[in-house]
Amino acid sequence: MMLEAISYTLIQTSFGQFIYNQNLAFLAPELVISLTLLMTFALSLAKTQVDQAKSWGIALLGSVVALVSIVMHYQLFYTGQASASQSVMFGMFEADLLSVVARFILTLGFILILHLSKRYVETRLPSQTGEFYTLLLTAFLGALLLCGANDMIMAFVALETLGISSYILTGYLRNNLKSTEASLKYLVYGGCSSAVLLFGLALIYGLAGGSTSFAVLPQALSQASDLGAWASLAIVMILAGIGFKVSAAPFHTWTPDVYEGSPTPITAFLSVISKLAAFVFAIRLLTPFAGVGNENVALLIGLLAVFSMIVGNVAALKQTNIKRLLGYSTIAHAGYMLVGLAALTQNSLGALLFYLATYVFMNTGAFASAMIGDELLASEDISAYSGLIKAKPWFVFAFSIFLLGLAGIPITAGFFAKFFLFQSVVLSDLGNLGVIIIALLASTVSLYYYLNIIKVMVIGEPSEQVQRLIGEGKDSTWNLSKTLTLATVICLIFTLGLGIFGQNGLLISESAMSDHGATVTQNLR
Amino acid sequence: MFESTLFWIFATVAIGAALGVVLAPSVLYSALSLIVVFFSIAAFFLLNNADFLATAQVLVYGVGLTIVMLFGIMFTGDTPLKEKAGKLGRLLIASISSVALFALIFTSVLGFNIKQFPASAQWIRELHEQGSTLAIGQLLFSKYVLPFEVASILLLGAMIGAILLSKKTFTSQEPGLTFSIQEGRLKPTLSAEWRKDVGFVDAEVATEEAPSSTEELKKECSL
Amino acid sequence: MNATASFEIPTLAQLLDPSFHLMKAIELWHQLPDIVPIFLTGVVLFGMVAVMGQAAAVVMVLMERKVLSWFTQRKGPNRVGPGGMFQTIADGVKLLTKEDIMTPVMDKFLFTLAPAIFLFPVFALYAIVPFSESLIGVSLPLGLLVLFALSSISVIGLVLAGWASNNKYSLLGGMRSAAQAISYEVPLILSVIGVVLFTGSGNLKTIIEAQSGGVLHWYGIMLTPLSFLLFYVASIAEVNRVPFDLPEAESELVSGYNTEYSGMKFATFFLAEYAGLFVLSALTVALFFGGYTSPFGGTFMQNYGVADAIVQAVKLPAIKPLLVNGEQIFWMLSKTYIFIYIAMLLRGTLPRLKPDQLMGFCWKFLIPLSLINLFMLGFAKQFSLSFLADGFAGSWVYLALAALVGIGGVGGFCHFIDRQFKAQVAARYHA
Repeated sequence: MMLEAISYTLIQTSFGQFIYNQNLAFLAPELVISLTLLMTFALSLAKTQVDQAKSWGIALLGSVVALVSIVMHYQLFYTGQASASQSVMFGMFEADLLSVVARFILTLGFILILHLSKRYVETRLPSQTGEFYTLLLTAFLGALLLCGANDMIMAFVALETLGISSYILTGYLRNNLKSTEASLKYLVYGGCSSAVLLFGLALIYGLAGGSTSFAVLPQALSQASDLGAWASLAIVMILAGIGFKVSAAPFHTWTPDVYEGSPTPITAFLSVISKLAAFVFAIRLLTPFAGVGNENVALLIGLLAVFSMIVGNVAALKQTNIKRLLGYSTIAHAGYMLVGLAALTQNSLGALLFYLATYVFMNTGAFASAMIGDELLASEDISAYSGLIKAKPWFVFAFSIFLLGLAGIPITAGFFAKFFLFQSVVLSDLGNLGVIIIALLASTVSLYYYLNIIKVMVIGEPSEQVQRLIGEGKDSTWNLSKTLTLATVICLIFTLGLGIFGQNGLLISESAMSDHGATVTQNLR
Repeated sequence: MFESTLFWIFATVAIGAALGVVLAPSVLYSALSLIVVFFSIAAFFLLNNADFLATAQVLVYGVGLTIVMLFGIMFTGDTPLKEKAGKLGRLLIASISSVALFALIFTSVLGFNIKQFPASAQWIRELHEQGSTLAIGQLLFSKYVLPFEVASILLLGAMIGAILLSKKTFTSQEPGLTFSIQEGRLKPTLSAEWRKDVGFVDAEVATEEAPSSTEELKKECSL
Repeated sequence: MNATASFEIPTLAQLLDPSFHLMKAIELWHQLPDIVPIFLTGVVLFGMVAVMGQAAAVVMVLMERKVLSWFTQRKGPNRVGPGGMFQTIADGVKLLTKEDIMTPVMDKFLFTLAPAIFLFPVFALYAIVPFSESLIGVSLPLGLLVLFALSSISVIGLVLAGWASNNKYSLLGGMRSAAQAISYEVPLILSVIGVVLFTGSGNLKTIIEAQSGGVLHWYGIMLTPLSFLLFYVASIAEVNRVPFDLPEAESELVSGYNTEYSGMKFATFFLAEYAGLFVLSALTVALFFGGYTSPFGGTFMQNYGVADAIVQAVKLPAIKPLLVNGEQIFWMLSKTYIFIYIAMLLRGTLPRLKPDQLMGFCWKFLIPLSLINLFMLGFAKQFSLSFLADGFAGSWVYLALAALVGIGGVGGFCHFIDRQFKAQVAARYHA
């Protein structure tokens, strides 16, 4: 009663009217995250490390609240109390089902990464914990906004928020030369790719008749005649920018070094959150082209996909460092996802979103395992994992599940994601069988290096470190980070669960795509 | 007539200065040419009635940015660039790619019918009388308020990051940064701990060989 | 303009009336092609600015020496001319004829360029400062921002001077001045935003006209006294005056960035510094103290019909604007010289800061305070406290509030920072 009276009074003020008219409530997750990052920043001024460590809890609380608000928004689509798909803040942000689903996956992934980073940050750079979470939340805010950005300016600002915070976070271990190198490389490549992306966006601005909004693109593109060449040019430039973010070949060259050098939680962040947000951005920007420069767009994305699959899988064969290997594997996965993007149909994009969801859990799980392995063995070399099953059988089990998921072996979610994706592409008009065959071949090649790790862990002779672990037995003083274990278990549950109950996930992502298709363009079939 | 004359003057200056940035014999002169480029771009903004952009260009790029650049150059020493830029192959690649980029931008500018966004005479008169600040302010605080606010968070993050990356985590009391004069120029020297903190490889530090025996020491002292 | 008008033969009475000739001249002026008036105006303005800038600087140098000598109970310059009046002119002649020394290790090109870069923006500023309602070089809608943009350019000149001299004292001076100018520009602009917020314009003439109602309408007294204080302190730092004259601290850096300079190049620096002080004082007057209007509102010439009476007495209608503008120039200059005097008074009173104190004062005190001030002004504006905008004395409530919040907030902030710092130092010593 009281609350209603207060909210009624507030809504009468001009600011309240503004919030109401511009649907600011649908930006609740972003607002919560902004508030959280300011709070963690305030905590970073605290003088004791104990106080600083509290910023982890605040970050977690903030992201959980954001998750809840996203779920509440999701509810609206089914209860029908309000028209749920709304453009927010003068059309800058599109709060449709696509953005809600994408942000849901994103927030889940972010919570997992928070769990990954707790111990890591507290042991590596304890005096700068608060700043770490502030920057992580800033990057996450950029990713969240990128999922719904419906305007070039908004999208670019969100992309830069994500990018610049990531550049800093990759160089977080300042005493480590590799981390510094990673940061510098990422910064230089990122700056160039942003510039190229901006060129592309400027061309599209011209094509759309002087509007920065994505919403007017379908109409403007269908009206304009003879823009094939210009649209292709713009698409090439935009794909260069997006290709950098999702680490697709030939824009992948930064990936292995940055993945190896940066702190492992940040590597997981880059491979999961950045990639997901960039793909949703690509979906939003490229669907208006589905009807116009269709063949060109499909061809260009298909080329990127083929390059990525070949480069990623072939280069991964020879890797000995686990983080580098996962880096190349992420390039390969970008290739599979681009196969889905190239088809540009409702089903293929839905399957792409589902693939991204499963990929979040599999890849975060893999990185969590790599972190546990690093804590256990103090090495990132694959040879150090040899014979680990004799010391830590449960860990080996979990790691194997993640690797099998990434390889796409049945029962895990990875298989179904790949299956749905390739199926939808085959069924689409533009389904290019050649690309599908290459994708299948690439998946087969990838089996070698994923299974190789499992082989080493299971039947290899125990390495020096593993022998030490066996020797310590139960007297070991080593204690596993609880949050890291929790994250691994959650990833495990989702990797298996999405495999078994995958159909529902696919349904949600396809309905998200149909909602997106209805609000943005009629071009999607 | 007057405006087009001014345009050609500033265009010549801008291109000349931009060439100066690339061809200048030292980094300092490159930076100075860059200032001239920024100022001529501000002049272009003015010729297009974008007075706010012009002043912002002068304030942010013309002065703020270049001062920081000059700081960097002056503290690290101004090295002549001639011997480094000599590689013919590299020069060839650079010039081909820049010509290609220029062709790309040029054709895309030509490709669009710029006249499709005409500015009305009344609008231009308003710009002359009131300036563009009002219009920009209104847009920033209505339509583009969300990107504007997000940009402020972006800048906050960048600021925190800059401090984080440059903050010292040393513990000892000895001065980390000392200055000495070599050849009349100020040379900064980092202490070993700071070098470690910044991430230099310690092997690069050229240490003077200590005299091995007392005889040598005496010899040195007598000299 | 009517082209046939110039062919009419004037009557004898018209020929005898000076205002007729003035009208004819104005007509002719309007008939010229566009480019000619623009060019001529440019030339005339430049000449005026150069003369005024030089003259102001010459007067101010003498004034400074006299004022400082009064503070220290000396006579000051008293040899050249009556009471030493021509001392600075003699000094100028000396500097002009002095040898221009350049050592071989200098970067000669930049060494010559630096004083020019330092000087030209300061002189360009004279074009924007309104001395009276007609005596404004250009009345720009964005005048205020243009002014800051131009004044920031001169820092490049200082840095280059420091570098080109190839002398460590010069380099340190240049560095200090750059750091100082960049830092103090932030509170300078932040404090001005309050004025712009209430006037709704960045045009200096509009800002002055908004305060034309007399003392009670001056922003510096009624509306934004805190803004004025912040602005004045920051502007003193911007022109490198005591107590912020670290770039040329003679006890540490010989003479800072101009150590190696001699002759006319040195005089250029000298001149530009005083010209800068003049412009910033004039700006303080324009922004916070009603500019060219009198303390009683408007001008006497208009308010009490003085101008009309004089016009009737001498039967020259053309001189009315001259009278009005003349009075306005008088008010403007006298107010400006009061602030210049205050700056000199500060020089005679305050000791110099240390570099860390200088930076700390800006970043830890002035900037938070100006942010708080801006927030409060925005608050006042948003909730349309119209008595503030009208210059009602009730704005003392605001002043008291501003003082309370300002002192409390900044004090608390400084205390917090201080505690943090002490804790860090303690931790370092105990470790």
